[in-house]
Amino acid sequence: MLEYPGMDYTEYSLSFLKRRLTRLATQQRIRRKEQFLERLHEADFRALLLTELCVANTEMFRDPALWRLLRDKFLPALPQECTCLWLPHETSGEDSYSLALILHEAELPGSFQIIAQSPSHQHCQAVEAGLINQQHHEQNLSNYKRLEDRDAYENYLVEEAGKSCIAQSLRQNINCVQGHFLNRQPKRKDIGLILFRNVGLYFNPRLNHKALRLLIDALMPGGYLVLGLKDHLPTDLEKELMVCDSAERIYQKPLSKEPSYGIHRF
Amino acid sequence: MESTDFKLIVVGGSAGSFSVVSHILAGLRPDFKLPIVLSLHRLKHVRSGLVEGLSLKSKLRVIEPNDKEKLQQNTVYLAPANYHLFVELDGTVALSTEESHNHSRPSIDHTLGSAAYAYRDKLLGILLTGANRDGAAGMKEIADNKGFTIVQDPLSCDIATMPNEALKLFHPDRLMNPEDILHFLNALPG
Repeated sequence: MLEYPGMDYTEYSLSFLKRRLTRLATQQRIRRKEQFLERLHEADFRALLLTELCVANTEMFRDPALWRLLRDKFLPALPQECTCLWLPHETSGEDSYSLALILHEAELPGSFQIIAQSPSHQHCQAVEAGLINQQHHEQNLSNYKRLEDRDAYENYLVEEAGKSCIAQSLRQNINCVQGHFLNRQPKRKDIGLILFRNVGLYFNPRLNHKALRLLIDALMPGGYLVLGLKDHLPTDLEKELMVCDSAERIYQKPLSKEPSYGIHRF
Repeated sequence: MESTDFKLIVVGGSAGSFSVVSHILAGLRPDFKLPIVLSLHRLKHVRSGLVEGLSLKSKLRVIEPNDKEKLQQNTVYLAPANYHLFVELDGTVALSTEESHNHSRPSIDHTLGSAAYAYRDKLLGILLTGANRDGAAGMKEIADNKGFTIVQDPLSCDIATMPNEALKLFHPDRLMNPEDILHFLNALPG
């Protein structure tokens, strides 16, 4: 796999790779290593492999309390210079759509550009088209109701070419870029929010540390980093951040250049 | 008794298992050393309550681990809501948001199967009452990897689907009611 650009999975968790490759091999009826290596020459198979190695299994507004906090407290508190919200490893688009929707409801649309990034071309196309996984519809609806206590979620959906999509007015601020965030990052100094939820789960500890280091460096001072509820944050990196909400895993990069060596709570 | 040189205990359960697990945790010796991993079916979007409920009577510390956390003695690890929990070769926990398995996340099969691969004959697997076939294949993996297996006696189950599905796949080392499971655990060395 290393012979092909963008396919370095050396530092992913071994058990994760074993599960995903086994799953793909079963789907593709690949029984021997030689068959797998043969298929790697095919661009279509490599695209399939990249897609399989992105776990596209989230849902809109997973952890509604987080989205409520973002909308009501942290998005309005973003640094003034911030115009960019970054999702370095987007898969299903559902976090991007959720973010676009709460920006709309907080009457902040157009103030920010959402940059979603995925190694998979297929995922990028789906995100740009605003496609929604229909299997998640009921869960999305339920999460939204828990967030908003009303039924407006379906007002944000449209049907295009027979498929359920998020409305164009919401997705117009989402730009999906193909490429692994470890190899390619937005060259901007105005990234005020990074959503990196449940991605490091699939990395080994070294890669997880490297990824978080990169994200903290990319975040503008005063900006927020959001992790998954159970993501591992190494102690040395945690010391560089202020804990804004420990339950929802929201951290802030201090405004000063000097790292903050204490844990602070709002 | 067969080899009891265990390094880890994994427990799977679904409907009706909360009271069984709670009873076992309440009755374990306070100095019980082996780490215990619980993979219990639970509501995906209710994050709190279960660990607190199990902690009420438990003499051991009960926690929902973070990803990459090392399994420690004297501790009970509960798979968090809406995450699969895998056990890694280095004795750490790996959480995952991958696809639901048997309509479940956490999936008991995933926890038990990964632990079977990592701990082999040093693993004790226990499958409790439940209304789903999830867990049956994971228990068979434990048996296939020479781990020790205990299935709750279906006659003592609130809902016996899960143990019965397991019994279709393999013969466990023990078929026990909850009280006997507790005695068995307390009789383990260490």
